[in-house]
Amino acid sequence: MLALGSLLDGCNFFGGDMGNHSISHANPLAAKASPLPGKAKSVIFLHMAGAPSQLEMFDYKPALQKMDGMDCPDSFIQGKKFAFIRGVPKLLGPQAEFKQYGESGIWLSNHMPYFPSVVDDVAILKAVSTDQFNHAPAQLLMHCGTARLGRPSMGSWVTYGLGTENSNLPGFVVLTSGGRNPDAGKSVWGSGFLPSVYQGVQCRSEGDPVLFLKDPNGIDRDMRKASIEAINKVNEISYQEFQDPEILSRISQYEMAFNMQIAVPDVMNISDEPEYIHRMYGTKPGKESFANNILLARKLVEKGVRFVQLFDWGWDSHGTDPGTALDLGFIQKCRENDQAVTALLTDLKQRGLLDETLVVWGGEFGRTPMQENRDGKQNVFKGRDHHSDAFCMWIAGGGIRKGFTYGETDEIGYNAVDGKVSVFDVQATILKQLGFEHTAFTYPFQGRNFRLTDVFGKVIDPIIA
Amino acid sequence: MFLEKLLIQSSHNMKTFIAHLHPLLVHLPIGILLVYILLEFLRRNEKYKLIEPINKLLFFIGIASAILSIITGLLNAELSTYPEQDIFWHKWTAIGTTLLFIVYYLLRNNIADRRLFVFSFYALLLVSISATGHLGGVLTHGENYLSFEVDDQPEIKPLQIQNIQEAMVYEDLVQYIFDKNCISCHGAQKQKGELRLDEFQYVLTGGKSGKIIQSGELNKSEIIRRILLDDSDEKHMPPKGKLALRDFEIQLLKWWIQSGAANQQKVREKSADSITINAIKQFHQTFSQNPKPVAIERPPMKPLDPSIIKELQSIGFTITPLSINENYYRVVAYNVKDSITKALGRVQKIAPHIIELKLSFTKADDATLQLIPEFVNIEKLWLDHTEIGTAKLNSMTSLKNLKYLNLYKTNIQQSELESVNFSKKLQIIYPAPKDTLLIASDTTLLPRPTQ
Repeated sequence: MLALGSLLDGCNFFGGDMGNHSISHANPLAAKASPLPGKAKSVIFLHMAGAPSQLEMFDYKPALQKMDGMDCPDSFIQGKKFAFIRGVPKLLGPQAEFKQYGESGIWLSNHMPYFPSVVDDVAILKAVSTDQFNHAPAQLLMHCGTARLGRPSMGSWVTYGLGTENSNLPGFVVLTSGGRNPDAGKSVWGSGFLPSVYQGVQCRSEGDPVLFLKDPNGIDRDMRKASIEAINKVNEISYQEFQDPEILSRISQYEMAFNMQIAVPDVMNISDEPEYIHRMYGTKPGKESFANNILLARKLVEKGVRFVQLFDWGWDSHGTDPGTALDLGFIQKCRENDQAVTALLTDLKQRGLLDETLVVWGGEFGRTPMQENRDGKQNVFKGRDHHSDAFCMWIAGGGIRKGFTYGETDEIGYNAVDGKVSVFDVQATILKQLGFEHTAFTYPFQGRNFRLTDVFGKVIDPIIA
Repeated sequence: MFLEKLLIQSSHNMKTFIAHLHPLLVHLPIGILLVYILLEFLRRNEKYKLIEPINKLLFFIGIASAILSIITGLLNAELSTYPEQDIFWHKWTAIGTTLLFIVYYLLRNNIADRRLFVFSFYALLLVSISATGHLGGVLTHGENYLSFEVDDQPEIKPLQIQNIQEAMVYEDLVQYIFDKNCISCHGAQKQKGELRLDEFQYVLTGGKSGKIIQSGELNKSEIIRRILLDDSDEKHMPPKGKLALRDFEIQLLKWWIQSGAANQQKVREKSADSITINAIKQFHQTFSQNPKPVAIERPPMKPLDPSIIKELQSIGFTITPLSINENYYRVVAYNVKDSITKALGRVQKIAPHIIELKLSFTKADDATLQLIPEFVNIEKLWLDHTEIGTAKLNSMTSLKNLKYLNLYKTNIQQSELESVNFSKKLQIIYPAPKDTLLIASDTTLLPRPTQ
């Protein structure tokens, strides 16, 4: 077992005399060393909830264009289950134009006019697979390593393993946009069986970033400080008596909340950013938007936040209405996403932050090469069903190879034919870049050691620089 | 008709099934007959005389399983694609061994007294049974399977080409594709269809069905025809179970053949259309070695006194080893409350331990900067978003290991920076005169979506 906390305590890392264990030195969020030297110090995980269509963004399939409107060959649908497709669907050609860009000659669709300027900084995984085709379980699998509830999310694992370098801010921040939380709910940033201090702190990009953080009327900061100190003293006494780690969580959360009163409003305020930054990201202060969240992610990482997780909603392009049509709403989503994401990579690069920040982009699965025929009837708009066999994600920064694609799908983008990776492989690779060997990074719970990648996962070596 | 077809089909299936039992069955005679020899040897001792009936039984079971193995083996030989000469020896040693055992069994009581003769017979039996087994193993696992060299698969080395324009079309591109995809069957070890693709001269010679390459003529080049056949076609190359050639590999082969299938030509000497240029790019990118940066070797360092770590933490520093087994540290100063210069003065005591120092967003100023040259081993230094401005950065040229210096949003003028003689390897982050603005490419391709 690699219980990091106990390892460090064992060599008396925090300097506390074990007999007289001073609680302030056992702050569960204190920065910790990684088991191996890590290239990345923080992670920005951009999750496009709903699952964007890889066939209109990264995976160029000219053969699919030629087969547009033809019945899907039996071999692809026999024995398969889809979320909505019934009977024999028709194939749907790419609803975008593709070109090769950059030194690396990577194919990109015209829905992303800005992205070509950073394409030589990313590694695109073209054949990621998952085994879930419904949103909630697939999102859980992506973030918690299982399709069922109850396991810690990736951000929780990482803050548990590395702590945070800025005690005035949470180590793990979650930002959502698009008007809805992800289908899997807040479990995708939950701490599972890890101490709850490691769960993601959801910040709002509109109004007070964290609710109930302000001092109540009539209470000034000194009085707040005195009361928190008193509460913490009582908590320390009960920790001495019961040794329950949740008490430590509570103490550090009180302390953090107190520090956050100053630091959070400051970091979460994007109106101080210069005009050119707003133009670059496409941000509008005071509104809740994906672009605003992207800018916040940069600001948070710049201030030492360990893990920033963004969820954007509205990528579920079934083609049941204009908003989910590949030739309408989807393009709008791409445009919003494209400028902000490209700005993020550009900005991180010019600030010298990209080397230490791992940026991950993807959905929970991909979309079918077939036009969706909900209940056997062709959908009114152009749309695709959920597809778990092959989809695209990209990773940039944090020691990842630049301008590289890995993996290949068949002619119509249905199955992986080369370089197939699983969601667990992506998780293992993220952990590796942070300095963890994913098989050794475990936490004992209910009699056995658990890990993020469960019993799976293989580091995707070819995309590591 | 139908029934007949079905019978033929099912009898064929049955045959295949029985034939495939061979690798399973062969272990029985080997094991049983080896034990039989051992017990025969023991039986010479007075003490073990009683095992005679068991030995008889063992012999019959052993021989029966040997015969079954031979039958399934012959069926297998009929169906298999192994080279005939490889099977030949395995087949005849198997039959020979079985006959030898029968001869021994018949003679065993007559020759029991002639020690030397009997012992030689045992040895002969042992050798012949081992040889049979080994030859069978070679067939299924390949020649190099049983060897002290661990790396038995000829691994394809990553491309070592720096400049693809200077690469040789045949030697570096085409031969690489052959090496990767073909020579396990068409190489120095094996020549299926009497074809070798491991050297230029053999490639030109072709195989059993003639030449495989007609220079300049794709349609007449058997190799291209085979590659482009439908996957399900028996003659498709590479065969079932092997990875198919990728589009860009096929494109490169076509390009090479179409332009004359020459031996000594460089990429830049040949004309290429845009598809080929992309294929070359993709080839280079896919197979080039992923250049892994060399791990940094630092001299061993004594562990730090925990009390000093505690002291620095108490004034707001985050101090962590680069990894749990290292005595080199990363120090971050987001939470330092007092004067950063004063605080950094206390870090100075352990200066040689510090590899990464992050003073971003602190009140660091020129006085703070004066302390920096003490950190002799420092590799990464963040001074971004600080007040430093007029200080002379000259003193920092003494930091031999400095690789990364972040001066984003400071008061230092770029002109000052240019006068400092920094090492070429040093990566300096400095805001461009005007921070990058994004420029969309190809916005014209598609009209804006209707709102």
